[in-house]
Amino acid sequence: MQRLAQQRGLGAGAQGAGTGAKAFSVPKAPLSSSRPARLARQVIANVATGPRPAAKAVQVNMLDEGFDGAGGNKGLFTSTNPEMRRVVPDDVAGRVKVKVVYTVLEAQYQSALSSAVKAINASNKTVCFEIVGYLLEELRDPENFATFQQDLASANVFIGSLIFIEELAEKIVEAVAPVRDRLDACVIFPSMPAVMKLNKLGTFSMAQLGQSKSMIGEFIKSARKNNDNFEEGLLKLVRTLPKVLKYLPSDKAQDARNFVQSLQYWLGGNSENLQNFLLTIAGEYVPALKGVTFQIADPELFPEVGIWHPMATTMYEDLKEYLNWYDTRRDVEFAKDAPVVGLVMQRSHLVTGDEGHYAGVVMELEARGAKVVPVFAGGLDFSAPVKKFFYDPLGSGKAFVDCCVSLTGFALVGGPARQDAPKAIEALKELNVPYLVSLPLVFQTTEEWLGSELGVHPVQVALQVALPELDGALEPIVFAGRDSNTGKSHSLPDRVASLCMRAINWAKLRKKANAEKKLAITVFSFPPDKGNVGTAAYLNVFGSIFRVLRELRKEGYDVGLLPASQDELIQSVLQAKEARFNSSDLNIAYRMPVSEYTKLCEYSEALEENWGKPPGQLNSQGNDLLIFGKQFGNVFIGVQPTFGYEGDPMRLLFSRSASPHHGFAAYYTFLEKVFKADAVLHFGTHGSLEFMPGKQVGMSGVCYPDSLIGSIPNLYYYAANNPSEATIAKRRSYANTISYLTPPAENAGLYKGLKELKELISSYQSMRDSGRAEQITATIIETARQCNLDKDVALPPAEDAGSLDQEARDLVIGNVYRKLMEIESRLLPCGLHIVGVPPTAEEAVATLVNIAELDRPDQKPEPILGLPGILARSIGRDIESIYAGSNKGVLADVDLLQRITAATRVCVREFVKDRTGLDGRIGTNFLTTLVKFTGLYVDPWVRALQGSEFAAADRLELVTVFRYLEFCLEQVVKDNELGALKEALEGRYTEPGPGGDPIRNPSVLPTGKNIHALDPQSIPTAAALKSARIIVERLLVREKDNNGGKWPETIALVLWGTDNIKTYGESLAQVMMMVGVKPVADSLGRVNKLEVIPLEELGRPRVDVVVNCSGVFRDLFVNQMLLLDRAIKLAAEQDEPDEMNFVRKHARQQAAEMGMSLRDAATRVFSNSSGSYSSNVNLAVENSSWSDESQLQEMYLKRKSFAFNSDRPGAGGEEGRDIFERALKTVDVTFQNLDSSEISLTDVSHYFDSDPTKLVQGLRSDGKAPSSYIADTTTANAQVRTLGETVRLDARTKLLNPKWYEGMLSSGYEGVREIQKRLTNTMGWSATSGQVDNWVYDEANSTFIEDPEMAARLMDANPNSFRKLVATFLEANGRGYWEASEEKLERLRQMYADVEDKIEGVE
Amino acid sequence: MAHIMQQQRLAAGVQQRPRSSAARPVCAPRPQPARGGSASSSGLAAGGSPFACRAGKLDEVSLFADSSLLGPSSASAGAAAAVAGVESVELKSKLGLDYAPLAQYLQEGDFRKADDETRALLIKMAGPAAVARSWVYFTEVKTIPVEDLQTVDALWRAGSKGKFGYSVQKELFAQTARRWPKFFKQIDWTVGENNIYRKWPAEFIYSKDAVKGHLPLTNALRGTQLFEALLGHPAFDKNAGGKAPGIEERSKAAGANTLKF
Repeated sequence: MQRLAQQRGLGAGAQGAGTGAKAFSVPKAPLSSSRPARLARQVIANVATGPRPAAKAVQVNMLDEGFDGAGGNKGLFTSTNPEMRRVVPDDVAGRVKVKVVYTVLEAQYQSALSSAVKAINASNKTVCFEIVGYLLEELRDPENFATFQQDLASANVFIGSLIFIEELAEKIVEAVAPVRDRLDACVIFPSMPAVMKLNKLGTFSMAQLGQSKSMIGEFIKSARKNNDNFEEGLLKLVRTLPKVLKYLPSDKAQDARNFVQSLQYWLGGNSENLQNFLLTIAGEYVPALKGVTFQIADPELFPEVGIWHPMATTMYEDLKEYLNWYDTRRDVEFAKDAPVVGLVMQRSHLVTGDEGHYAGVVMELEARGAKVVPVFAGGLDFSAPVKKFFYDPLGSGKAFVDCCVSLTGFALVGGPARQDAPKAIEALKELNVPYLVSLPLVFQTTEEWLGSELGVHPVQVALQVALPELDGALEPIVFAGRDSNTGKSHSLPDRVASLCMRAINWAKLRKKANAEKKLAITVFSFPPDKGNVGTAAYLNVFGSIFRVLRELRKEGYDVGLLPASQDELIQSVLQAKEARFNSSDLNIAYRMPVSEYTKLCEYSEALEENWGKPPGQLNSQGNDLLIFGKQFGNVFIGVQPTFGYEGDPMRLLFSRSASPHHGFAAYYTFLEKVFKADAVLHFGTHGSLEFMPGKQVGMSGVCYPDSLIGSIPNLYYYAANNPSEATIAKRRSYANTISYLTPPAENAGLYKGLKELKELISSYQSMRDSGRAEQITATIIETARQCNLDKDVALPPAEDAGSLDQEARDLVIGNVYRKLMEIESRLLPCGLHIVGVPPTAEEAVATLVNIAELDRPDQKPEPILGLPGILARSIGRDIESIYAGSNKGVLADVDLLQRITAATRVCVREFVKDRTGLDGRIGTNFLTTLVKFTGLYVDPWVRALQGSEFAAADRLELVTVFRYLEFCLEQVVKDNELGALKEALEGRYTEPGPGGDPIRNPSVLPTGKNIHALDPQSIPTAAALKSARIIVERLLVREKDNNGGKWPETIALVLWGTDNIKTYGESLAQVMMMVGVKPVADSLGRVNKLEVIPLEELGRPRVDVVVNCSGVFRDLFVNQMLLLDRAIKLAAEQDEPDEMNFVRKHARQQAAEMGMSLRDAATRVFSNSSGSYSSNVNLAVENSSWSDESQLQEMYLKRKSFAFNSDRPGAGGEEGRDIFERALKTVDVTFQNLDSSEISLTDVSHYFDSDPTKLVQGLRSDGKAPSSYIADTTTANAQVRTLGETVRLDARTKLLNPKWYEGMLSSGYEGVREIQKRLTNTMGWSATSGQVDNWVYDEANSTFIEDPEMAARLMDANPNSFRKLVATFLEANGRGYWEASEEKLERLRQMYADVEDKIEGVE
Repeated sequence: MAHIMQQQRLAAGVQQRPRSSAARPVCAPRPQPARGGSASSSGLAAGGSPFACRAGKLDEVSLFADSSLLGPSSASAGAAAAVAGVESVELKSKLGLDYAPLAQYLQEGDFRKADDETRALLIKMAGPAAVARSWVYFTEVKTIPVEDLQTVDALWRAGSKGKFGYSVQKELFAQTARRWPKFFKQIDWTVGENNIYRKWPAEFIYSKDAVKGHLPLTNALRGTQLFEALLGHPAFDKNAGGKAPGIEERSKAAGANTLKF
């Protein structure tokens, strides 16, 4: 056993990477130490950002002022002070004083307005202005809000613009509406309708917006109906209205004209225009100025779209003219083949004189030898200048630019109000160059961003990161800061440099010949040092690389002497065949002396804090750092080092501050500066680069993912079903993801005793009425018990079979049958995918069957009915009633459902057969064509149903569903995985597409797209709400039935990122349903409001919740967490009796006990702290590095107890362990969702990692174990199962299923690892929930250990994984999870010794 | 003011729509901006903004104004102690610019004024386009005559006993391997754990207490290309006058050149 202990210490942490891991631990950026090495690392921005106010202008106190990025201790996003924006005339001197209050999103207007007012105050003899501005975000602060109201009380004029954040819009309405009548004027530029309605200029108002017959109202209404871009429409109106107004009687139109003119002044935003704007409004509407005439110029207009360059003395409206100027500049000279970067800018920044950040980028690009075409648009449709200026001026139709960088932060079409991704994608596909969207800070000052662990403000992430991603935008780099005093943007020099280098490198891909391009393919190795080189979820990595290389060779790339086969390729990287046993035998591609490393790697000093002086212990030898891999011509295949601390339990618990180790840094330094890669290709889901410490979104120069990837364009083959982590890779490591298909799924099928049972049930059905029925029933009961089905189905003793009447017998058989069908039809992904190899027709059948089974009521252009529903109706039944009957075990319904399933499969199979060519792939079936020609052709589904009981099925509905399947089938096989890679390597645009489950959302297909998540503001959808309601009802009823008719009081549940992306927010909606609150969309369709469901309608008490969000969910959906928090608090604040409102009941108790307000006591939304992922229980279990369960529970509590509070939105997760523990004490039910058939409970370590079942038991005062449930919405007939049932189902369909393990073993040593991983994860469930039956271990042991042939196969194929498998059995026994005979244990110990010897012998 | 100018300049090239007679005529860039009451709120320094102003009067003064418009200096501590050597610097100028005021401020030890004057001079040295624009495009630096830049640098070195000046900064830049974050830390333009930039102007140190290379300030509002172009100007080449660099400095500089980051 000593060896075992040793193995534990060494046993490196598997990260679940093999199967689309959900998340794993990421330590946080080091922010707290003050060691010199660290300080050097802390240089974040290189710019001073304008003067601080005199009052605070003391140098050293900056630290004391608490730039903690969380808005001081108020928990807000910004701590700037509106007083900075107050301008008061020095001397009124008898003039009329007009007071103006403004609130705008566009910070660029701040200083322009200030200067306009100062100019007037300095020169105008009649009027002077006091002006004060409030930033939207500042209004969250009650103090600021109070001052805002005070200011409004004495104001003459209020100005608002671009107010599109619902909750802040509400605040503005709250403050302005009461004083609107008193104000002399109220001018609101494009904003949410509720704010637009505040407009008031004399008789002009939009109060009837959307109702009246007014021209503007009508227009807005129709624009909205047409789903046009609201803002664009308004701008169009502004352009055309003056012409129309000319023909109206001037007195009536004057006020409307003034509004339009105001908007023109505003959009022309320079100081003169703003002066004239203020004078116009004051002169026309301030009573004290009645009769005064100012000299006011008409608005100075600027081109709607154009080209701007800081050196040019004019804006250009024609590319040729611009180039005439550009090419004759004498101050610079460009190489003949200089890359051309197209920049997209907002005109408002140019006209308001807030262009420092734009000029910075232009200079940086030119200094680095790139030409620029900087274009702008006045509105928010940036596709117009892209179409107009980025193409060859000679009219060849080709792109003139080699890369397009938007500096606006906005989606290409529509900005914050109404995005039009299809229009954007169309424009970008046409342009077909890499498309980057960089961010200027909007809601934060530079200091606040620098100090923030979150990085960019969550609202900005939603608007300027998530939305552009839908257009296929890459690389959300924060390139511009915002000055705290003036609100002006400024370059962040190191960020600008980073952005420009990256843009140029993308552009160069278009310029360079393929033969000269250098490509660094990077593979992963999890767990480290154990011969796991080349692991990725669902992917045959080396097979895929081999295919990619052959393809690249065809395209002219220099791939050197390519090995003849995939095996030889593996061996050349592993150096020797035996190398799979030990990583020190990996091929050393390069030795980097420490001197070279410290010279080339700028951040090496910063790593010393955690890892000491280089070279350190990892990836090193002597005084060299080692780069593992192998070069083939211009292609380098390298092995990414691992985190390096997986086996260290202390670091797992306290891994808040860590960094990559020197070996890791050396690897990427080598790629960038020694090998000089033109692009890196990360191969498969997923590595550790993007999980390195740093800000969540919006990296600064000291965030490790940013430093590591440096300036190399990053391509990343990523599993299509994992959009959440793909999004992390995109945001943190600037990856252009290219999706790949998960392997084709098959039905799990039946085996051994289960197969026998199925046959027995058939006999029972044929002999149900005969005298043999009793005997068969007894045999079935006995066999079912042998198969351990007695836990899932209530089985009477076999000897009692005789005493059952037929009805009772039917029910027993029905239930067993139903369980069997559940096992049989479960989908398994089979084998591993090879990039660019779409499934064969036969392989696509199971997937298509599942696609065909779902109803799609929201499908455009017409809703699609699922095939089972159609078949059910053909015999006069409703499918839902059949599901219900089957769920209850009604034999007739179970059997009918089975027949429907069978018929569905036959139909789909016939259909696919029809579309299958001779090679087994989808294509033209020669015979079909021939038959069609004869006119005797019958649709395959008709053929399939002919003569069956479902022959009467509705033909039209069938045609609809099969037309859809036809489309899906085409998508499945229309693979662009290699195509997209080749195009990206040539500097072309990669078309974006959603990630997710192809069954639920076939638009995930075809693969080869840049994966995006979704607009976080769009969830939960109405459909998700509907299914959430069903699941919650089933869950509550099931628990109530189990628990003597008592409702559960509290449910603890987990929210996953991928889950919510795939289901459009189902589990988010579940939480709301539990507490009885409904999400409501605002007028722009964004879900951000809440409505209480009355108790009468709810028909049950409000159930309390404890929500724990995965780190990835937190990264993607912070705003949705705050929405949940609001929902729960809303429920708690309903004045309802305790027995009908458990949220209130518990919150009141807690408030009293803990001495806090009811609202604070109702804190129920938790996650990890920023930058940290998972409870690390998984890593502890995988590495056996834990002593007892309380240690695991401590890890969970320590890492997952960070509370999210909508009253302190900027604070992020705040440590709240007390309230977390207190809330868990009342939990009766623990609950999770399964999101897809591919990833189930034991496939990844994350489900058990987040399960608090035993923890709750320990915390509850009665020591009662909560019930545990798992919802499974992966099939048409959604199920709520107990955790125990689900673990058993998983074991039966995977670990113990010959179809599964043989499938895995066909891919050699990776297969052994997959088997071992399932067992480890099973033991994880024992550790956290105790819901694993002894027989599961027994059966696994007899399958893999007691079968000598099998044991020998495993040992040969992968001794390391086999050793871990054997050790896990022993550990399960040692920890008391598995009762095993001494004989079994002895065999295991012997086997452990054998495999040790084998490994040592090999070494 | 500068920005207003710029807008006019931008507007000048635009097809104008009919304007009312009250409109200010669109004009070509004025060669010498007048003191303006606006726009300098954009003054980011660093430091260094082209827009000089004094603490507490953030938005009042444009750097393009003659520095005499700045009023009494606040950084007059130690002003009495005239520094020997400034007088000995010959005020060479190929551009015909007057460096006497700068010499004067340095002589008086008024680094604050000297700093403002230096940035104003830099814009003038870069030519009329830069003056019109109110900031220097990095490509304009190479047109500045060696003599003029050397005069400014020599004045600074003389006025600070070798502590301040572009050539001093250049040396430090090379020592920090041309890595901006390190360099800025070195010359004390950033403070605190997150290395937040000092706010211009109040938080910079306008006295001899400042670390070596702290002054003069150069605008980084638009990135570091301008600063880099300045430090790369032939005026500060090792053999372009001044003392020859040591072997150590030369080897460091050579190493740094392999890396452009």
